[in-house]
Amino acid sequence: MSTTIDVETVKQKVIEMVRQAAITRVGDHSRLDGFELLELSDTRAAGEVLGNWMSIILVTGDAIRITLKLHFSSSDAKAVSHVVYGEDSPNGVSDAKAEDFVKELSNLMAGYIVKTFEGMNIPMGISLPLCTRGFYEVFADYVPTESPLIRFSDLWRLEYKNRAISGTVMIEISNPNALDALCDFDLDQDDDDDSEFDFL
Amino acid sequence: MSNINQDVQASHKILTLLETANAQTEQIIDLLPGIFLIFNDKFDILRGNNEATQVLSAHKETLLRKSVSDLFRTDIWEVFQQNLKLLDIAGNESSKFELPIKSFDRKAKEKPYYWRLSRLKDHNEVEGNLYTLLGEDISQLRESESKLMNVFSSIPLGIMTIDEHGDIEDTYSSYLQYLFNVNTISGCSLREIVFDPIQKDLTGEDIKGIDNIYVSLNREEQFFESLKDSFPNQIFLYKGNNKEEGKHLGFSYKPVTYDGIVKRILIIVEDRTAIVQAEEDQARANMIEKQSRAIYESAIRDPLTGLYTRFYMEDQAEALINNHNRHSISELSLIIFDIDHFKPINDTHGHDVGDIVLRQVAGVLLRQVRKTDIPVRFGGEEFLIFLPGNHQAAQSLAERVRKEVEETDFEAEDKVIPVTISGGVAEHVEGELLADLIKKADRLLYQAKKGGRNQIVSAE
Repeated sequence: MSTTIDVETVKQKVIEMVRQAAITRVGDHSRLDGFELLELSDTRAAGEVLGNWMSIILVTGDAIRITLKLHFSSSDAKAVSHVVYGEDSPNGVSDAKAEDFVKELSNLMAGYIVKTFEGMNIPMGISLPLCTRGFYEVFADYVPTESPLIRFSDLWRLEYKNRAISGTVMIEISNPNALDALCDFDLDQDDDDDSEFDFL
Repeated sequence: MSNINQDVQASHKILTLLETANAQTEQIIDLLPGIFLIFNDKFDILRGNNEATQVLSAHKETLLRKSVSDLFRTDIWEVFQQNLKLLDIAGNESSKFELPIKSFDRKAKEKPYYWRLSRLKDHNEVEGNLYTLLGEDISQLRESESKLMNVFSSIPLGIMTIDEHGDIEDTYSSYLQYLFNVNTISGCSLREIVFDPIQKDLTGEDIKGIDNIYVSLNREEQFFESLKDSFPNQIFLYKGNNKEEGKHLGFSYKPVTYDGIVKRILIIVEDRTAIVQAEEDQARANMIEKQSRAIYESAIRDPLTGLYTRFYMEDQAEALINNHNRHSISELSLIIFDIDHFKPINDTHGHDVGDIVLRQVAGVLLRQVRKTDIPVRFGGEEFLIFLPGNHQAAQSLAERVRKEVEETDFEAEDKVIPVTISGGVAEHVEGELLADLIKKADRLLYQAKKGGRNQIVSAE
């Protein structure tokens, strides 16, 4: 196959897709309006410790692998989750529930990404989300490359009234040609289906 | 269910277990005793345990990205950085050091901490090298040490160690400066401080013992023990010729071994000056007592015969008479002896022979009397015996003495001298004075002399 793919476009589309997953799913999951997605790439770097807690999930297929990390503090997670838990204030949310909220959020984001790829006939798998405390993200070594794998990252922050969940997305593309469909993908055609992805 | 689904299920299970294990590990880190921190090249804290949040007065969430430098005063922080540099330069896995942390309560004192700094093998492009820092609050240990040092300082003992070269290394009591009368001890050699000032007084044995202290260093403990008894255990230390302010110092030696080799010697120095002076005082007192006793003995014992003197008799006979008057003893008698023809013995054979006769007659008396009797040389060749008992008992004793004297061959200067004695026996009557009793017995003696000598006359 000698099709020339615009790699930069593919990369940009992946980034946009993940961002779209993040901003839509956090709003749906928290039932809060007014979340904003702010870029962090200028001030932070992938591999940096951005929070006391981290939820990590892997979306993987033959051509692409996306590692999505959500960095958060327990207090911020409580602040953005108390509504969905039916609590009057963040204090009503336990630490465990706050962790579950972010784990579920990463799960929903990954589900959105998988579903989007599947809409382009690109089959993808998904891991369970893993939530850890501490500094483990520093061991997820990351160096941007263009060959043989195309490796790049995206950093952003989901902010709601001075509360934030930071996201680090590490993307590895092994076969950009297989992602050809992405170039014509229109993010606005999101079907607004907020159904959760059913993983095993 | 397909095999793929089973594999995915298994992976999910492993992931769940991993997450639980991680949670447990993090909880253990939280509860680690002391301060535990993980920080990066920029000294940003990436992880801290519960105690670190307390010490840094930071919430767990705000501890992230605080600087390790917040723990220390500026000058101490520089020392910390030096330790970190040394760790990087030396390539060691960890280094240990003691530094105090500043208190967030301005009134409180800084607390000493013992730190273990390590570099993790993994590092990250962004965070750089990662380090762990474990800090243990040793303020209580230091307090205990301080109390112990106060105890050391207050007891009249000097405690020090000498190193493998024989130089004084650690001193645990400022009392040592007083004992050795010097301002600086640490770093000086033991010989210089302790033994050189009195070199002229040291015996060959002392010098050999001092040499042995040095010889025993860096040798097996067994070898040390074999030499230990030769080490000087007491000296008299003084400066110049000022012996009046000198001190008697006692030494004891304990080996400090590493792998069985004596690398240090713990020396305990005791000021024995007071003890030695007390011993000398005691010896003087004993001497005086001995001399006094000798003087007293000479006062109460006749040096020639070993019999009691009149001086002693007056006290003791009075006591016996009082006892008799108070019925403490039922009967009391007195015998008075006189050697017959003693003057011709003196005149014929000389006073030396006379003295021998006196001594031998006294020997007969001493052999015949009981412990309760009081034999006395009354004067010249006259002897008395006071005895608890009636005149018959006294008569019997007097007769035994007389008979033994008569039967004894008195030998002096290769001559046999016939000796006899005469005696008078009187029993004390209640209320009778000592002088009267003696006079009564003396009259009976006179009768014995008049009756032909070598006989005893007793009052009925």
